[in-house]
Amino acid sequence: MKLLLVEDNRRLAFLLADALREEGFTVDRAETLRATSELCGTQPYDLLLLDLGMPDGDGLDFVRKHRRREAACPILVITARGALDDRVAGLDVGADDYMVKPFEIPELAARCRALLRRSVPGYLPNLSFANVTFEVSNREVRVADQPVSLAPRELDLLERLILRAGHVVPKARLEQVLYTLSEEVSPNAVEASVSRLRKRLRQAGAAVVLHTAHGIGYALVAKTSKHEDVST
Amino acid sequence: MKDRRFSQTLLFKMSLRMGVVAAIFFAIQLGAVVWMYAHRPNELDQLLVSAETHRIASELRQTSPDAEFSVPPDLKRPLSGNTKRAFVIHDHRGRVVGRYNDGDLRVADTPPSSFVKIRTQRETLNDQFLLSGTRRVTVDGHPLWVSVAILGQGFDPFIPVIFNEIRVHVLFPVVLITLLFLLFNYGVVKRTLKPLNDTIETVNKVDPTDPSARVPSSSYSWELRALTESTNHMLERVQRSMHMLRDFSGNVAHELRTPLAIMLLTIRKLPDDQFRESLHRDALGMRRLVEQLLDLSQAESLNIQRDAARVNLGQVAQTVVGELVPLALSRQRFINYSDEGAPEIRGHEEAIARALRNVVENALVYTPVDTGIEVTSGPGPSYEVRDHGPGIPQASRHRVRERFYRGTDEKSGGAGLGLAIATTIVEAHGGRLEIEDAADGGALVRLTFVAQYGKTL
Repeated sequence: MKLLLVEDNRRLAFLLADALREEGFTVDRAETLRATSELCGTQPYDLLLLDLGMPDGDGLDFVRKHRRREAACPILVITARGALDDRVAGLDVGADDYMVKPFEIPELAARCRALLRRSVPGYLPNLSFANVTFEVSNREVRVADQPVSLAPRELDLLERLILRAGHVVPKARLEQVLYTLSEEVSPNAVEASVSRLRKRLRQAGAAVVLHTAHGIGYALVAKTSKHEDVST
Repeated sequence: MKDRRFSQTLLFKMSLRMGVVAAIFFAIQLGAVVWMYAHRPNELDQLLVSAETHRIASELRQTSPDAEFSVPPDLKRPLSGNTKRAFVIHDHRGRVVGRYNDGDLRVADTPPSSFVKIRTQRETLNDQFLLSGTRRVTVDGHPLWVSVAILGQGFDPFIPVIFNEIRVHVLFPVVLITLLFLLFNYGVVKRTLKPLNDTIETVNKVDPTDPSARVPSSSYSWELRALTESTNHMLERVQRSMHMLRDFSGNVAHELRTPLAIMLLTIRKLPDDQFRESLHRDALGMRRLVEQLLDLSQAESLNIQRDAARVNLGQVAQTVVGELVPLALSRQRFINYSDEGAPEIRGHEEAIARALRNVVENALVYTPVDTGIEVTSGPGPSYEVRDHGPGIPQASRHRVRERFYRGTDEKSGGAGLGLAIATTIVEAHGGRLEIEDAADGGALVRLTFVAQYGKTL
């Protein structure tokens, strides 16, 4: 899942983004509210992690404005101001959750997942399709109850596809959600990941097929007899 | 300022000053009278003769005008030690109706001319003087002429006259003026000062711990308006500095929490060994200290109003105990909770929970392994937390409620803020935190709240 981390302290932002990546999130960073507004307008973030004390404005005002947008993603406020009144004010203007610095990464990650479960349809703790299961909290993939190890990028891809199993996920969207802004995305990067994931799933004996809808995107569909040799 | 002593009031001071003014006035008047008579002895002569003749005339009233005047013993007494005196009274027909002479004095026996009203004469013989004079007086509608001769020496014979003069011309006006002053004071000044007293009452009613309170402005006079305004300005400054303090704690929070977060995240990246473990523990200890400092500053800025939210003490205790059970179990202690029916009070739920949590955590530190602590809510608006530890010695009971006080054993490893936070929170709710020995060993900490508490605006 893709998060936008809005934090003006560069060191903290760097460490936090790193820790969240370890937890399986794709993390972009922003250091001003202006940049945040622009990014939210162009990128499909699933969750916003927002520090209230930004140099170019009041975080609460931003939350209020953000709430008026259509399809606004949830906001988890991370702040140093932990008085009850501050928390109430943050939640009242439309933040979805509130965490006071300094926090434990596992708790932050768990809260992020909880928020995503509320906002992303079908984002259950345990995603499964056919004989493939994807445990969100520890990002463990099992095929027919046997653990399968996947590279982080392929895990992210599988997470996206299994969440929309049976539907085509556009390639352009995958390019947006699987990579951070700082990564160079080569034209066939997604294709490469797809083929690696397809190979791993087939090797593991998954009863699913990673179908390519040419010119549109990819879909995870249940394996039927007619798929037997189409999959390559 | 509770004790209002009259001697300290403005009214008294004004009265006192008026009294001093009256006394000065009296002294000046006295000086003026003495000075006047010292420079004009003739007037004293006249006054003395007049005084004598009038004294004689007043005695005459008691006899019939035609009868011979018998001299009463009062009139026979000399004016002073070495004074001799004689008098003759003539009626309008020239007849002598009374006479007295205690010495060898020469008094004009011949009746004075009927038109004489006042006549005074002074003769000086060596160091003696002879005063003689005639006054026409009217007794029962009949004119009488009283001729007096006084032989005397020095100043003594005049003393009664001077006293009389002082009485009439100095004492009387001064007493009158003083009385008028005091009446004025009680009537006008007291009424003038009444709004001031009212304002004092109003200012006294202002809750000193509630800086948002203001004194209603008085429209009575400029001075009172100025007084209430400057009181309000002062309250405003107090409020501003309290807010500054609160903002400061927020800033401290930000300044400390962000680097702490960075530190904790950086420690995660270290190789997993004993140094990382101990660094991590230290960082967590610092985090706890920062949190406690913030808890304390927040507890200090607590202001419980009469319309504060209702807090169910039993429910709060249940939640707190529930949260702490895992911690207790991880340390091989347990917590028993019993609800004896504590009522709802007005207050800050989170703060009350924090107070209880601090007390319970403290008890968990001191109760030995495999023992429990008992948390009771009620009866009445109170909590009791008892442990089975060594108890808190009488001598350090008041000190454990102070900041940064740790027992001598350093067992807790905390900053010594827990009970200070709890005490501050309980006191902000009008209650108190007490420490006792439990019946069968261990410490008993009681947090007593007030059922109907809240500051009036």
